[in-house]
Amino acid sequence: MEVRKKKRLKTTHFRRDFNQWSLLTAALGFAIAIPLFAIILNLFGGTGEMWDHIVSHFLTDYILNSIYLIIGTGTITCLIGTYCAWLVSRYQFPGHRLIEWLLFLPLAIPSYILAYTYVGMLGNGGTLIVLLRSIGLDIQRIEMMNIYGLIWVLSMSLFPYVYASARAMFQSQPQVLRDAAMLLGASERRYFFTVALPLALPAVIGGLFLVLMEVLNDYGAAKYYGINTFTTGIFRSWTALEDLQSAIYLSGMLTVLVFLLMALVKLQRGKKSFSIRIKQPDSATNRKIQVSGSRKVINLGILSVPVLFGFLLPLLQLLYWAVLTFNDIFRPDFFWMAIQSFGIASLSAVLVVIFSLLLIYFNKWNHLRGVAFFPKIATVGYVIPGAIIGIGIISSSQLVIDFFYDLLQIKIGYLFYGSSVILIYAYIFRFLAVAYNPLEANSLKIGKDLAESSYLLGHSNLKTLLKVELPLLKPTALSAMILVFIDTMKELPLTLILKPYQVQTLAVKAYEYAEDERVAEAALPALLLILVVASLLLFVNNLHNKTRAKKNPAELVEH
Amino acid sequence: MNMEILELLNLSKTFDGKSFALKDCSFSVSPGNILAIVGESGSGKSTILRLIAGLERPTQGIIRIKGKEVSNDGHILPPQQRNVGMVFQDFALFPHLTVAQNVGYGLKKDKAEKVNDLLQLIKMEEYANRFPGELSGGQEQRVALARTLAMNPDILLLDEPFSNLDAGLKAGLRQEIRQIVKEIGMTMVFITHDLLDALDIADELIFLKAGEILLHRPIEMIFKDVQNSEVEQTFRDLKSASQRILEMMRQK
Repeated sequence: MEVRKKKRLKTTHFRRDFNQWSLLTAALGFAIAIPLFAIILNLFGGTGEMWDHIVSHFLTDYILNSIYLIIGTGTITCLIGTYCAWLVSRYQFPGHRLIEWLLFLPLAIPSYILAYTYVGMLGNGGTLIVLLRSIGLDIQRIEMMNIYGLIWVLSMSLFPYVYASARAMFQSQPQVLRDAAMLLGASERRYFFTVALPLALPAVIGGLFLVLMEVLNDYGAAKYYGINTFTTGIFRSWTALEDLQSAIYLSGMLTVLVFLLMALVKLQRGKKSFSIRIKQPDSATNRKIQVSGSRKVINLGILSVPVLFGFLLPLLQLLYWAVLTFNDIFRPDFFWMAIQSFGIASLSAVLVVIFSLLLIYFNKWNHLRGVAFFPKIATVGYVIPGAIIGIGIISSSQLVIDFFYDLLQIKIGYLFYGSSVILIYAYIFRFLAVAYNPLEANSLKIGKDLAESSYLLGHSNLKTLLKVELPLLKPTALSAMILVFIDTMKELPLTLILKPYQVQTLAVKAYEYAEDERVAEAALPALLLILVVASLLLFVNNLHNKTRAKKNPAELVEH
Repeated sequence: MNMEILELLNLSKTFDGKSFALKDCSFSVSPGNILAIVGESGSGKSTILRLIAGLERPTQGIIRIKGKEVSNDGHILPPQQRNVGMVFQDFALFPHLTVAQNVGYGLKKDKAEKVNDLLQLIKMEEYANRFPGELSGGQEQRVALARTLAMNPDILLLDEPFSNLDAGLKAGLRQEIRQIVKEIGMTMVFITHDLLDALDIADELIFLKAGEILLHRPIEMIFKDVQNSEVEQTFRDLKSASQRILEMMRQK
């Protein structure tokens, strides 16, 4: 009796709560996440013809190398990112603002480009080796094209993810905790290990997770260094072995690895969440400590290492190559390629922000609980390596083309094979979370009061969004748009799989030159890419600093 | 021989080089006494406390603790070497450490035993394994006090100790803190904007306004012969409120 009553109530509630927004949220979320569903569905289609060959010759390599890369890169990025974040958050020294920003810049160099420059600097006849020998140092070439070299390159390229999240966390820790520890006799070192670091651990792990996702996503660097990983394996199965089904199987395995890592992160974070219930007093927050002369030099020295190896030296190598190849590369087709790159990245960035806003607000206006699953599934693209999404789209494309033709008599095949539409669609799935998460967080921060006041004053949902909520979300939307633009510009594996033949991007062109053993010619497209990304990073960093300075004026204290 | 445990001589502090947060302040506290510093927001009370603790650097003046100069124009002793304990307004308990770990944070020897004794003193033995986030405001206050007392400091400083507590909790906790501090014979300096807090606990009281001391007296002399018009007005307000309360209680 009771069960039937509950069932009836559920049906009544469904009828009451279901509205057009529920349908739109579900439809949009589903449409965006089609590549993921395609991979899952195709896993039931059995293994491919070459699967046994892959298992016996490559699979152990893929698994072991991916694990080595995860452990090696994870450890190095954690150490460098966390320690640099601590130094710039706690200590005052000359040039500290500049170095605080420079530490973000390795993010501007895609890891595959960093990989080329290291071979150019340290390999046979490498620029740096020749330079050091010319000043009388007996230096041997350093073999970079192995797993250790790849770990180093990926670490130098990706540590800013840990640095950025740890720095934000250290800077938000109340000064009063440090004061309390000092009065209890704790040294700076003890305070770091017993209070500051444990409290920053969730942020460090958050940054580390992004690093590991990028490690698993990497194709260009691993391919160039000849290291077999899951991602290179997916490409090999699809292109060299012409076995899409095996590529799908490898993608499935990699997806399981990604979700396993996600579960581990959740488990660690879920252990105990410690919210700091201290109101930040206006004059006593985030004071930086003035240190003595020698300490200043040591701090500067430590912080210079990752800047030098992650950004400045590779940049100099690229500049050297660019000078050598300038006349060959700087031609009209270079401009055309740059315009195509910017055009595709801009359009993708705008669309990602629009789709994020639509999903957030459709879901907000929907009253049916279960529908919230669809925006969640639409945002998982960020943790799924680009190669998997590419394979997901390839494997589902014929299904979609047939669906449109059989049901609506519309031919959409040319969209898949002849235009960039499908590539932009792939970017939307891959990078939706980059815009969705901050926009959703800020929309929650704005709260319900303003929208509810607007409803009570007679405005519709859409009008309230356009007149009240959207203007308040503008800065977040702008920075999200820039971050998506940056990610799209740098993206390689997905672009390699899905770009139409006639379309060329800076990232792909740089990769193609390097693959053809014309690595010096990759420098100019790479430099333009770095220049654009670095300028935009600077812009976003300034935007965040301005917002933070308004909320939380930092102050200095001598010590 | 000087018997005072804390002495401030002509202490001044300016943050911007122009206006003074504290101007030419001098006072002393005898061992075992409880001193309340009363003042409005921005009067400089927090600055005094932070200067005594060594968390701020004075612009000018001398601070002596147990006769030793811990701060003068020539040198400044860091907070770790002053043997001064401080309970912060928001308690500053480390959120990832348990109550017992918080209390024992500053201890090096006989940790378990001392922590146990202190938890008994604040009547919170059964909360030893809880985290600060699981405690009420009053309990957090007591843990912060125990953590500070564990260091056996020469002086105990309390920054607005009751401002984060419900009115119902305040009265009980005021007496509890006085009792604990008197039981162990500790010298205590606390700041508050609420005169009632001061009158309920302190042995002596300082009135502070715009960084200057308006009045410094033992609590039993506080209402006698007040020269300053602002202090007089505060007392008059207090008297009028008390009379109204008494009247209402009588009517009840």
